[in-house]
Amino acid sequence: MFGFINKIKNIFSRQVSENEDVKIEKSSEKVLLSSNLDENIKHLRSVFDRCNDVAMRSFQINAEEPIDGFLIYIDGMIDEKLTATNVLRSLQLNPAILKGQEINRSNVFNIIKDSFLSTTEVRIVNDMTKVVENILSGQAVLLIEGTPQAIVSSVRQMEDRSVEEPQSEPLVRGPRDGFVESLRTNTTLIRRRLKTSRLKMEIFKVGTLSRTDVAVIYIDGIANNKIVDEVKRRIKRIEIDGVLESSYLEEFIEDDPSSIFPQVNTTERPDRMCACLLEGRVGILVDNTPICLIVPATFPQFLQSPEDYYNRFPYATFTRILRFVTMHIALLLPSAYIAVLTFHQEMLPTPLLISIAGQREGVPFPAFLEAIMMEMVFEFLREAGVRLPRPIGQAVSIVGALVIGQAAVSAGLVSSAMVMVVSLTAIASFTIPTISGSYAVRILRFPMMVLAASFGLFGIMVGLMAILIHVCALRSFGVPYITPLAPFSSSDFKDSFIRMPWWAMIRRPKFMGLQDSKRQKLGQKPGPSQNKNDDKGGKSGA
Amino acid sequence: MVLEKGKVSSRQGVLLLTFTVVVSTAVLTVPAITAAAAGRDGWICTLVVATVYGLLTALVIIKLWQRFPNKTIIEYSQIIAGPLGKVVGAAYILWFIHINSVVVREFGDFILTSFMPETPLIAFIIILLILGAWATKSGLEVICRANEFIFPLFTLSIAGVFLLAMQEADFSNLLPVMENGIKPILRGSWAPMAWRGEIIVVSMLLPYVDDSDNIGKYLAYSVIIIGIILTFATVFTTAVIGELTKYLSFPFFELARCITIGRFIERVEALVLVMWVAGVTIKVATFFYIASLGTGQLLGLSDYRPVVLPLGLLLGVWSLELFESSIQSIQWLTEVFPFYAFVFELGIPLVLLIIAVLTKKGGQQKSE
Repeated sequence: MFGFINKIKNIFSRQVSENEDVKIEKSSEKVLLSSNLDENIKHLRSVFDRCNDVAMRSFQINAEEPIDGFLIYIDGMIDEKLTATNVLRSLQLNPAILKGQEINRSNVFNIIKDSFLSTTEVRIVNDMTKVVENILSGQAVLLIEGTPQAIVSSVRQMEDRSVEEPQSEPLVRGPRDGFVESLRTNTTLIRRRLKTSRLKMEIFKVGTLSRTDVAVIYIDGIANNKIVDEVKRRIKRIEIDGVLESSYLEEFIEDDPSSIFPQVNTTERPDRMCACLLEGRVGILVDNTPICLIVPATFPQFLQSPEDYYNRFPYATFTRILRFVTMHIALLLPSAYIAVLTFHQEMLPTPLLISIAGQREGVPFPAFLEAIMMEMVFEFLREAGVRLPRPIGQAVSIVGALVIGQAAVSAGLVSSAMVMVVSLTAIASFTIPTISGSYAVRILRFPMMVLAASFGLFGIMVGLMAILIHVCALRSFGVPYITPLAPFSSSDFKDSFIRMPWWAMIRRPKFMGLQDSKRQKLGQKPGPSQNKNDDKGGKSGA
Repeated sequence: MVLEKGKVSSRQGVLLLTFTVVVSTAVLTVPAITAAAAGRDGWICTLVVATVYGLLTALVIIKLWQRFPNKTIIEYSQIIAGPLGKVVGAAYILWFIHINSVVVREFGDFILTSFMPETPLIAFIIILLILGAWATKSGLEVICRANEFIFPLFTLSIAGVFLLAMQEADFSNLLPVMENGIKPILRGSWAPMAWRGEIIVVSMLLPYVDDSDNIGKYLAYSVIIIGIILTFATVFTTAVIGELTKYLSFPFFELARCITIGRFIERVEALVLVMWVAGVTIKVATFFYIASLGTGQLLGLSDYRPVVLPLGLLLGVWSLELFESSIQSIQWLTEVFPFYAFVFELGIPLVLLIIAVLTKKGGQQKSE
């Protein structure tokens, strides 16, 4: 069994061998800018040969004797208006402010950099590769005759979706904003919530062709340095042609790629991200996707919703316990049904057994086949409903309800008890608030059904033990996966399957080995007399 | 050479693990075995005599560990007894494997007779050994963590059976106390004593416990808590089932069968099954692990994982061929196992300790 798994592992790891390395589009030697403008232009034209979206503009700087200038940028990635007014116009008109100074070839570069460009961010580069890189990332680059340097002016502006309510994680109570595709907007959403200089964001470029910006975000002094370094190390190690979504990174940085359980948490909500950062976790934001990664992930997280923290703690605890129960229903109900009907009929109370047996009288299939058929149908419907355009999606649900709910039962293919089981399982699986968490449960349901059909309750228990051994062996960035249950920690248990009130959660999760674990001061439990003076006043009044 | 790089806390590795290792099988069979010899006084055997013996064993283990804080019994027996120590180590490994195959067989017989009489025994043995091998390969930390997770479920289901059986219990079944004097009690104590002595497994684990201050305390707690749980089991089976206890193979299981709640929930023995599978998996994994680790240490391997598969095959065949029927296994557990176990649980460690004291081997000081 293990040998077989290893073989599969080898197949996966062997795919990219040393020889067929991905071709990296990077000029090996450093090409410095020349002081001859025409030469630079020629080089840039050859680099951007057949790139129709690159805009190049030659112009003259209005000095005593006109100096040639050259502006290059990618059309659509910059703010045209800003460039026209703040870059081109100020260069083409000779400003009268600088009467005292004579502009000539030797000092034109510095004067332009210091006095003329009224954009906020200006950088100097002298390397052709850097120039190309900056152009590609949406900056305008200014080249001037006689100077072997280029001015990179930040006028980036790309088409963006506005901040909307995240579709995958809706809340009843809580902030309505969600991450968007632009990395900068996303970091702003986080910074707005955590106004501290200890919030660090480090940018890495991943992808040899896509050159995607990846930001590693953490709170300095709270997050465990070891974990932060490990995250950076794993991200730097990645060599891939393009990163289009954060899942590309997820598969590269997780601890056990063959595990069915998600080891990286994802979110679309800045508030959830900030809550995790405050717990000492590390966030990974990827440009061009609203889905962000949070590591290390622990299993209880996948049963948590940000709303648990916005509702009062008794309600939150109730819903969390509810989800814990529904997760088990989603995982085990069909297999328990199979096991009881196939092996342990005596466990059912007699009236219930008679009722179920009566319904199953005309059903031609054994319980296992019946269950697996209906579960498959449900998975078909779910998949169909997700991929279809919304108007057709409704048609799917009507067909599904009719086919499953009515026709199958009246045709005598399945018993109505089975329909109950499948729909209960479905509803239960919808209560798992994270997508990756519910995927794990959905897939594991099928092996559990096979085990139940072959060994009854014993098989189910064996399956559960196998899952338990597996999750006990899992780690996410060094943190045991099912903390705080095992290893048990009473202070971390306060925020796991239950949620204690905020004033009782004095420490941040211990399991991450945080530097600064104190969250708030002790003894803030509110009561009727929160202020002693008020209390006295009240008494004298009465 | 360190074969196990993981570290566990003393709560995980000593208190909880020994509890599961002993209780998971003892709670099912011990009441019948003590009842056969001591009748209704079985609870005295489990409460008093076995606990004293267990504490004595714990004392010897701790004393040896204090002399050799970073060594397992396989390693320090070689230091103490020289070349003979190798033989002792090999004997221990064989004993671990043997006990493990008995556990696996007991488990197979139980599932076979109680739940699925038509499935071949080998199926259960293979499944259990796959789980055990997987846990063993994952290492000590994983076994301890899995045990920590199931510990509350395990204790709750045992406590649940006791609570629900309360209404069926007739405690006058326990009277009169010590009708036939002390002799039958001593005779009935052999089995619970041998089971309590299984805490010897920690002599293989103590080097990997990272907070050594609590080890002695937790080991003693464990012995006492096991005593209390087993006493409850004996008392309740006697109170509910009465004189018949000694004729049953798995009296605790029958106890669960007696339970009805409001005429609707009947036959909650599935609770026992859940407890049994979870507990036995941990027990088998623990013995499997220490046997593999011991083999690795004895042969001077750099990793114990390669021996897991051969040991698993050995375990499977051995447990299949061990007994011809479950009656024979009960007989073996009653008549042979205790004396066989005493040699390894108390005898050899005591001799090793005496030699170590006389020859002044090993550090006297406690590890920091």
